[in-house]
Amino acid sequence: MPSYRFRSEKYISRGFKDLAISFKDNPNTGDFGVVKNENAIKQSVRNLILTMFGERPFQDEIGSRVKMLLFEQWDPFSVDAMRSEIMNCLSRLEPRIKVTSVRLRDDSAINSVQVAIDYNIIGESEVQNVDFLLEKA
Amino acid sequence: MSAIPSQLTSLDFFEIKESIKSYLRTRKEFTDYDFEGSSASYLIDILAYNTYYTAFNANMALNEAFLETSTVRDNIVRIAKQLNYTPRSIKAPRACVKLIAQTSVGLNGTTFPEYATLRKGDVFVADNDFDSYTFALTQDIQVPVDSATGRATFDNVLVYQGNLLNYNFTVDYTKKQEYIIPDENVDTGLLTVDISPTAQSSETDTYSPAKNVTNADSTSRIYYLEETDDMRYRIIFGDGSIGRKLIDGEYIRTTYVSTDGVEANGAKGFDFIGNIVDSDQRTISPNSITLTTKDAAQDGEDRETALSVKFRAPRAYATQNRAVTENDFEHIVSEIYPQAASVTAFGGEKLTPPVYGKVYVAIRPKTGNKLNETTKNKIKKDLAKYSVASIEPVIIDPTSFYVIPKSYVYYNGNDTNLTGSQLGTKILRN
Repeated sequence: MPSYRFRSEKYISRGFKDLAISFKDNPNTGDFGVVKNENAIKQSVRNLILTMFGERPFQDEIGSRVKMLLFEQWDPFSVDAMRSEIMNCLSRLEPRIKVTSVRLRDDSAINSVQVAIDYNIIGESEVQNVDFLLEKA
Repeated sequence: MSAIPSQLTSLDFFEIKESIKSYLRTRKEFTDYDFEGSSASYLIDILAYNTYYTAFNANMALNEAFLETSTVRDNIVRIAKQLNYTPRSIKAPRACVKLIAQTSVGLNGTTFPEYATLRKGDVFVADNDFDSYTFALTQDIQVPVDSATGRATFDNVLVYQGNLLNYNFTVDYTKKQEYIIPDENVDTGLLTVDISPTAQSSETDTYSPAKNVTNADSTSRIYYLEETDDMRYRIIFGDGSIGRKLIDGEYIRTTYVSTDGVEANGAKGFDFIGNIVDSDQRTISPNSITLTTKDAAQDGEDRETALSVKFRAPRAYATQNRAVTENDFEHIVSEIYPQAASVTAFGGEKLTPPVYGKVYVAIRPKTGNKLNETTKNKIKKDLAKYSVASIEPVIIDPTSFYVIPKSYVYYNGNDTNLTGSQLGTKILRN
């Protein structure tokens, strides 16, 4: 039985502070790079979508099928499946946000899919947006 | 608040992860470790996994270091080695056959050949309910030919199930050498080790297996056996003080039987596939050979299991290769006669009237109820090597008690149309 649990309720309206996934150091202090608040959440959203099931040790339920769906035939069904997958994944694993829309655009010229996700951070009205590229590699 | 992780003995991934999170809660640098998508969470996963891996490895390694808790056979055998215990190898079933070969008139045209030789090697094929098996003869047998009839009779030929194989080594002290027989199904009881001065030399010296260092000196032609990785056996020679040390360039010839063990028990109906030659070196045709099976294949045993090694090694160490107490006799008999299902030993002084100077050993074999006299004598002879000089071991048959239950069955006659005797028959059948 996993002993981890979400404690988002406690953190509503608090600041979020996470390590920058690039692991670049601060040129002045030499410390790890840090991302804060909405940028921390943005990074978390990207991380979750780009993690495949089984990638995290002992936590098969963390991640999404999105990377696998990239190799499906690009048609309205697969677009819908990918969209649902993103929404499901974020509603399961990112309790700090509520997704309002997911837009997908096939960019076959560079063998990739453009993803744009709009969401609200819980307790805030401003709509946040994260865009990234899913490459078929 | 202390920042020291509290779950130091945990072997659960999630407990370790929670412990790291608990530590982070005492710091204010990062706050997102509770969200699965955060980079901190990914890092914590790696840390927890690494800790889990190390903890598991340490636990496993330490468990494997003790006889009581080890589970991997190679490790069990290695620990047993420290107690001078060599696990029993697989044992080839043996069978007894009689061969009569009709020779033809010799090259001189008037008399039959002087003798006939049954060559060692794979000589018979026989089958049981499961499969067909090869049987091997470990030594050449030479018998005189009856000058009147021309018949050569090979009586009581003992053959062992398996293939007779060879493996040779050249002693080379310029490198670190290990003499490991490359076969896991070797019956060590049938292993022969011959040493020649060179590979080309026909002069051989047969070495015998030794179990301890007593009576061994610098010229003793002995070798020690120990099980090594993957159930293979390693041959170890003396160092010049305890047993003769081999000289650089000497040639080691090992001959062994690679057997199927217990699976081949019960094989009978032997067919000859070997080679018999007469004194004129002419091969006798298979049509001129008649074959009688005297004893079907029996006494084959599987190799000693890891569980058995764990049980026996400390007890073998306790006996110190000496049959002194009743328990020593019981243990040593079960070692020298592995077909024993149970062994009980008691001193003659416990009998009425007392018989001093004797130890009685009752053996119940795995098959049948009693041992035959030949086996009893063999066990007695083997046991004499271990027992105290003035004590005579006596092998006796155990007393078997057969319990015949008499059952009274009550039944409701309204629930069945069967009669009492019909019901009785059904109950007996089930």
